[in-house]
Amino acid sequence: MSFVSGVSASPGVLLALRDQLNFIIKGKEILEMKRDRLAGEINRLLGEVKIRGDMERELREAYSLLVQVLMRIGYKNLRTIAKSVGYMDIKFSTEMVMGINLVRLGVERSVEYTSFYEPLIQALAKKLNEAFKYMVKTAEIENNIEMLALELMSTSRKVNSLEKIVIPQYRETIRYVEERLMEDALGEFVRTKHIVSR
Amino acid sequence: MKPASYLYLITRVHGLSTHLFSDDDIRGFARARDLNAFVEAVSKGDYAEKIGLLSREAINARNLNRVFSEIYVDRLLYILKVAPQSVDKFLDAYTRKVEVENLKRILGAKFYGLELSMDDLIQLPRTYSVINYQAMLEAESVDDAVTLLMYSVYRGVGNYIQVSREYNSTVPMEAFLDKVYYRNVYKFLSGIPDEDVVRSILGVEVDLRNLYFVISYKLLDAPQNLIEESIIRPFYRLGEEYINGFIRAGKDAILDNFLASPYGWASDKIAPAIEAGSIADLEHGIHSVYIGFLREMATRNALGLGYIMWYLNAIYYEYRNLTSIAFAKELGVEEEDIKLIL
Repeated sequence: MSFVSGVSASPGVLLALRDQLNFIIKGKEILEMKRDRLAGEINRLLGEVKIRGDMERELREAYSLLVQVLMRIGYKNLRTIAKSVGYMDIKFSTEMVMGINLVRLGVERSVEYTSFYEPLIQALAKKLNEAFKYMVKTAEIENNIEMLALELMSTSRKVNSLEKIVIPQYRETIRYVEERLMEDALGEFVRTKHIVSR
Repeated sequence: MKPASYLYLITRVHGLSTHLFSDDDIRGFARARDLNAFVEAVSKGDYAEKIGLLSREAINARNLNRVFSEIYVDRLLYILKVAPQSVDKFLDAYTRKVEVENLKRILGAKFYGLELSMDDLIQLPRTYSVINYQAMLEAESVDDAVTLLMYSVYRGVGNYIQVSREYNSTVPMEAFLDKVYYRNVYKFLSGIPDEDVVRSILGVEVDLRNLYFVISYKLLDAPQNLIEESIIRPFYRLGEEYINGFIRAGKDAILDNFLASPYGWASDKIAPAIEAGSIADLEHGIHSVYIGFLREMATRNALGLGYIMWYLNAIYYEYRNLTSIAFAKELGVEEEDIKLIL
């Protein structure tokens, strides 16, 4: 082990190594806690991601209604009416969870679909409005799952690396330094005994 | 004894009605394998010339819609051309639906501050209307646009701009235009031949329109005051008390209220739409009831104005059905789904 071979065996180094190992073990425990929290958060969001099915259903229904309206009133008429659709305001904010910026999206102002005279157009606008709300929520959930999953991967790699490589290396080094110090102490003891017996 | 000019008009309309596509023709168009097959099938009679002018590349639902719209307007205006003095004012008022439709589009766009061009309107001959659409389109605001209606029957629409702004909705303005339209039609109704028949057709038309608006708006949870704004009077078979009760009733009582109406007999066409909460099906159901009623009136009044009223609606429904099929073929909608809206 290259790490072991470069270490000078002295009591000071042994103390420093033991301190470092304790610090690394505590760090690993914190990372494990973070990993569990991230996994918990992802699990919670995975429960919510079924909203995608609702969104797809809403979009299918909205598309089917759009086709029906288009067939009934024609392109030109629909285009003219569509021009009078107001904007939808989406509030974008972020929330820090375990060091990750999670996105929060909220519909601040919906389209005023009751402003249309023709009920069929109102129905279409209402349907599209609902579909869009589902799209916003789905986007928020899926984006957050992606961010959390990336962080979970990175955290798991760190925990694994500490657990499987760094900590065993430190333990090996400490054992090596301890053995070297023990050998040195034993040599010193034999030398002292020899001098005393002369 | 009916005047000769009136009989000539009725005979002429009987002749013109043979130009219309039959239900079987329309169902056949719905079966066409694609848009080109549909164009080939529809390119006959009144449509042959105008569709023939479209190049192969220009054949699409938008251009076909324009052609169908032009034929519809030509047919509508032709009736006015051959109408005798005894009914010309009434027929002129009745055909003003297209004018009202254009005004709704312009005022709606101006209300929301949007750009609109002549291309977005139903093309009407300059001689037909006293309204200068171009000037209205160029007006800077809805208030300016409305001042251009000062010398027309629609001048009162200006009084509804403020209330439209309060609701942030064009419903009050558009409903007013509809009210003016029907008021005008009723104004020229007195003294025309077959007045009773026409009065019943108009009455049923207004009643069904009111039912459609009340039911739809209630299904959409529209505010009560907007539902009230949309109602057109006079009622025919519906009563003032009934409509007010319906508007105030809860959403879960829509079906019960409809069944309690004088049109409850049409529940097989309307009730499934209400139960499903589908405005599209409701609209289709209401139109089916109305066209069924018109057919009956046309049969009973084949030598009267009832037949002409049926014809004026039949040309509109033909325009609508052909437009629907053109868009459906372009969008690849299945034949079974097309039939549901015809």
